[in-house]
Amino acid sequence: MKKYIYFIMLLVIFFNKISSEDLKDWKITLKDDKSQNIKLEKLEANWSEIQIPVNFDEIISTKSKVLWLRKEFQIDKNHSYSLILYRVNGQVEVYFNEKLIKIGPSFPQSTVIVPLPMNLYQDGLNVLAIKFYYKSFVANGIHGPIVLLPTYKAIENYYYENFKSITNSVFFLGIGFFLFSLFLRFKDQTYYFYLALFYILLASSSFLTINIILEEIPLSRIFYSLSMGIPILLPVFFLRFFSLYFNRLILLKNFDLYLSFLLFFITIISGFFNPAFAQIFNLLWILVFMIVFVYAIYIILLNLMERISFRNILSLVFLVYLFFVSFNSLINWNYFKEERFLYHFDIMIVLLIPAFLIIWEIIELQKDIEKKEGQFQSFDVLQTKLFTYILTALKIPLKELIDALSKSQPADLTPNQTKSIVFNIEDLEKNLNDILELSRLEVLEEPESYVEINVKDFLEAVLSKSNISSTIHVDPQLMLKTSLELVNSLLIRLIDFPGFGSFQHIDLVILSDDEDNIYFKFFLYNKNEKVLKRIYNILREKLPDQEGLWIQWKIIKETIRILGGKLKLKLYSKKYLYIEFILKAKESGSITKKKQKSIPLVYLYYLEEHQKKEKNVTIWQKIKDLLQKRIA
Amino acid sequence: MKRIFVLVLFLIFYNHLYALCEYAVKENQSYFELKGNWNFFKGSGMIAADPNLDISSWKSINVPFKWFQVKELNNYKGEIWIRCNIVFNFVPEELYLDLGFVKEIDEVYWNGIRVGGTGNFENRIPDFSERRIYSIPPVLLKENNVLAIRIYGSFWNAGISDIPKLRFNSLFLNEKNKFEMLALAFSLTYILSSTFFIFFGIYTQEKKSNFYFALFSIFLALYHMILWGLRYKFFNNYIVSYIAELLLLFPLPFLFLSFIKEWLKIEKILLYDFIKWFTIFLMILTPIGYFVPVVYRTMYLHIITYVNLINITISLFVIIKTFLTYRKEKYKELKYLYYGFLILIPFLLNDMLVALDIIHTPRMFVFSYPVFLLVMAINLSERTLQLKSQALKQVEDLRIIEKQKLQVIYNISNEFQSIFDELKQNILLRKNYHSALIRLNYLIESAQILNLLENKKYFVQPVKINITEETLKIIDDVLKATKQKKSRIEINLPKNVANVWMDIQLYRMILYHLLENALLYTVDEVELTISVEDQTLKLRVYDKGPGIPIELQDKIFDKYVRGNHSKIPGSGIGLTIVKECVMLLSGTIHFESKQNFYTLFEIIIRELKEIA
Repeated sequence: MKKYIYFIMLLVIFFNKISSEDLKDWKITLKDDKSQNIKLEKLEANWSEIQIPVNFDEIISTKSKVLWLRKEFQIDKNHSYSLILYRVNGQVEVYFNEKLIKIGPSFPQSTVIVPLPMNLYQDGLNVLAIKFYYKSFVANGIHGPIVLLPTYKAIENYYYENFKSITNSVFFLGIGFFLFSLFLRFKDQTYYFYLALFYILLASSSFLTINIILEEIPLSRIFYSLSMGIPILLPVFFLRFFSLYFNRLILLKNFDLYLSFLLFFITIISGFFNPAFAQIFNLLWILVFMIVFVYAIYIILLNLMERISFRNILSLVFLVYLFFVSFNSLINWNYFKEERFLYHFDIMIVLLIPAFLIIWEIIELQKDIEKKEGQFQSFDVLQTKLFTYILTALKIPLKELIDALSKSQPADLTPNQTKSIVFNIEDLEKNLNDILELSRLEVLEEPESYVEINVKDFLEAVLSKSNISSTIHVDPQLMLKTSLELVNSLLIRLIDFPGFGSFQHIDLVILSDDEDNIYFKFFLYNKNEKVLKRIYNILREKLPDQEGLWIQWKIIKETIRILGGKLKLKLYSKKYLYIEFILKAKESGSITKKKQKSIPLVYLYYLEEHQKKEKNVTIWQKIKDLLQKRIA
Repeated sequence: MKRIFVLVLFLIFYNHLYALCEYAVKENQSYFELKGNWNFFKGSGMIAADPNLDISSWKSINVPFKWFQVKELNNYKGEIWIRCNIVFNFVPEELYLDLGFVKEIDEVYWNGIRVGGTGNFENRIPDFSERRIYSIPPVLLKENNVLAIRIYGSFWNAGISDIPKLRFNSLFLNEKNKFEMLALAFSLTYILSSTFFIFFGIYTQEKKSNFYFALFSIFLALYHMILWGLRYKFFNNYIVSYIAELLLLFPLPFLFLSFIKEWLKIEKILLYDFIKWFTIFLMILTPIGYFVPVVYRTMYLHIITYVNLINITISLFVIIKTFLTYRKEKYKELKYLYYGFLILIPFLLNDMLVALDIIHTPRMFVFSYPVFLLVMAINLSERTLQLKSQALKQVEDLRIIEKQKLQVIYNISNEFQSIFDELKQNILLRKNYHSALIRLNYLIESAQILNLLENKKYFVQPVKINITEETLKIIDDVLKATKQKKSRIEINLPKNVANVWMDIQLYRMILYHLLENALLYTVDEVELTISVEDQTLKLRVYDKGPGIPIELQDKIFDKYVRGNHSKIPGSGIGLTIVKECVMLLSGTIHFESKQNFYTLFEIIIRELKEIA
């Protein structure tokens, strides 16, 4: 993926590269003496030296409105040459060997190509003289290099100069079209519409900076003014998209709309009469953009406080980057000096982030559907698992029971036999309940409901009534968003695990680390190595057992899986069994340590007590209740 | 007669007889066409460029020309010279020679001075993609000028494709550059837009269709980038660049076809494998071109290019055929794609004809592809709409599934629990518990058989059974299990037939569940008729009960579907087992029910002896 991006970057950088045959060193004078300045002879006067590109604002005094550039050079008479002046802001007259060969450009920030007529080529000294008119209030100058190239190459370069603008406009227009098409299908989701307008405007603005188009159409100055004015509207649609997408009310009401439309029209009108005014109003645009940025960042921060998600982080990156770039542009006046920053490659990538958010939304939707497709299979899986477990765990004892009872009549049974059979049936009932619970858990992808609880309070409440010795060392502020039912059941099942009944001592240490992991460390002591090893093997699913311990253990493992935890098992010194499971407190980035309302402890006790009571209720009764509730 | 014969001969060979080529160029025109008969010499030697050379022995050739159009050049692999005199009645300020496309190598001399060339004569490295434009320095211009062009060709298609032109200003370069730049900008856009499909491919399960389309766009873009001006920025050697160009071009039909296949989710496409292997074959052949001897290299590369046109044509037909075949079945997927593809066809045909040198228009496919991308954008927005409605439906469906899951657990739990409760109660009260034992036995057996049937692990075991005896045993079990009186069943059994080959376990399951349902859910008499005719077992269970509600009739064989009988314990798998058992025995099951009147099940099973 990285390579692919590098490749595109290389391509664009490549196209941005201007030939090295620049004419960097020029002589400059403010003396407006045409006959002297264009003279085809070695310059005797003491002109200053200057390197192009340059901003003339610092050179031209307020009194003077003109300056002259001059270059003496030799030329190969076998080839036709052309001169390219990149991004001229102002007016130029180009003289070659005393003849006027070009007046231009017709609109600001334009690149001018000037073919040098071959019949004017001289052996030895040739002179290029450029008269520069002071046209704007700001950013007068030649903001790109002046390049002398063979004509065919110069034309190629002149055209390639527009490559980026064309790519931008085609690409942005495509995105705008896609978003508009989405809007036509989801008319209630108007953020598609505003984002579509954002990209269509971006595309049109980029389109109107294409030199070769402006050169060929009439009223190019108006179109140029439009290209300056359109970006003023961008923040409006951007902010509207942002507010709707993140579902936040616009605090600034219609301020953005009002100001931007006002600026837009002023820019167009003033741009038509004098581009200098347009440039000043463009400064205001950056200020508007700043306000919009600050507000949009505020929206994102609000969102981030609620939930750390991919789209929030990406949006923040997008805004912060644009903020710094435009701020930099503002303080350095780069917007007028060089190419407009909106069309820089890195900015173009960043400008794609809102579109990427929409595309990511679609990808997420598709992923979600695909994930849920799997859950449709869970019905068949549940039945298969259920029958398999019933047959594995219950078939033999049930058949034994049927055989035993079939041979006798009710009247023949002694009280002891009756007691034993009833006890046996109750045992089978318990196992059946466990199987039903296990099957239910195995098809559960995630907890059915979440509750936020204070870890310390919860653990103290649960463990206070158990017989094991426990130590809790967790951050008192730590919150856990989880299924209370599952965590509770997990702890109780572990503490009451029948396999540990014969163990002499059980210690539980609960810790939390800086990354908000909660460690539950069980140390179980049994001096009988054989018993210890047997239990250890059952827990590792390496030993079948008749008592149904495997069902109990599988329930524990499944609960840990659903809770997103990890489980470790180890034997120490042939006497200790170590069980550790880790739960992540920061579930899906939605938990913060502080400022969270925890469930009142009273309610926790109530829940715990309630669940204790529920322990005596069979699973099918629970399900029946649940079903009745759902049906109701 | 002789004169006429000579005249005919003269007319036939007129073109090849010497006549000095001379063009008089006048002022006030932007270009001048150098079309018609030039002087032509077959062979090498730099002296041919000398303006003072006596060329009276040279022949005539009609420009533009191809090797195969000139008798002397048939099967010729070597150099030729063509030249012409150009007379100006003015002094041009600028002059360009626009030769158009020349195959394979050329060099241009103006008044004996080399002004440009494309390809390398020394190493015979050709270039048949670059448009030849040479700037003529004004210092070389005289009133009478000699233009000499040296051309190397090794294939029948070599020569000058377009009318050479003298151009008097550089404006024509604008058009050329405009085209090139637009094509490059469009190509870069294709690469950028492919990122979307790559993302979709990485993050969703619809990997293949997205990757194929992304690859198609990238290959198309890179191919056009080489074609439209970046050739010598990527490569130093024309042959290497041309091989790369072909390697990008050849997989395009297959990638597009594969995209269509995956997009429409079609298992099989006509000639798909053929096109795949054909493409692979071409792609293996292409790099070999680099090692082919120089004189045959151009021919080799051209032949595989032309062969690829066959591949493109076949793919085109296959795609159209696929669209036509699936236009109704896959209407949603094809709705826009179809029109998008139709728009591409004329542009594709244009490019194919250009590749074949039949026409000399600019290649246009690169400019038509954005239309297809826009169509894809519409398609995608349509797909998003479908996804959203699918997601909503899924939520509803999952709710139902969750309910069904609970129902499964509830049914099974309820069934077992009712048996356990009855057993415990009867044991403690010293009552008869055999009914519960039979139900428990059948429940375990049913669970086991359903599991085996659904996992396709049940193997039919035919044994010879006395159908009357077995049926009576099962009836006895059902009556005990349901605690019903024998009088509720009217039994009609075959009188003469004693033994039938049957899988006893499956037969027990079928009959037990049919009768259990009939007895439990009705209060009236149940009629059981069993007959054996022509080695076929017919089983008919008929009751005059309340019947099955119409809305449930389609679902009665589905698992865990139970009518409004929540008070009667049951797992809801009985009729599912019946259906699965009958299917396994290759039998048929007929069911009809009229609410408040009757319910009838008729099962026909061939005797297993024959199957076994």
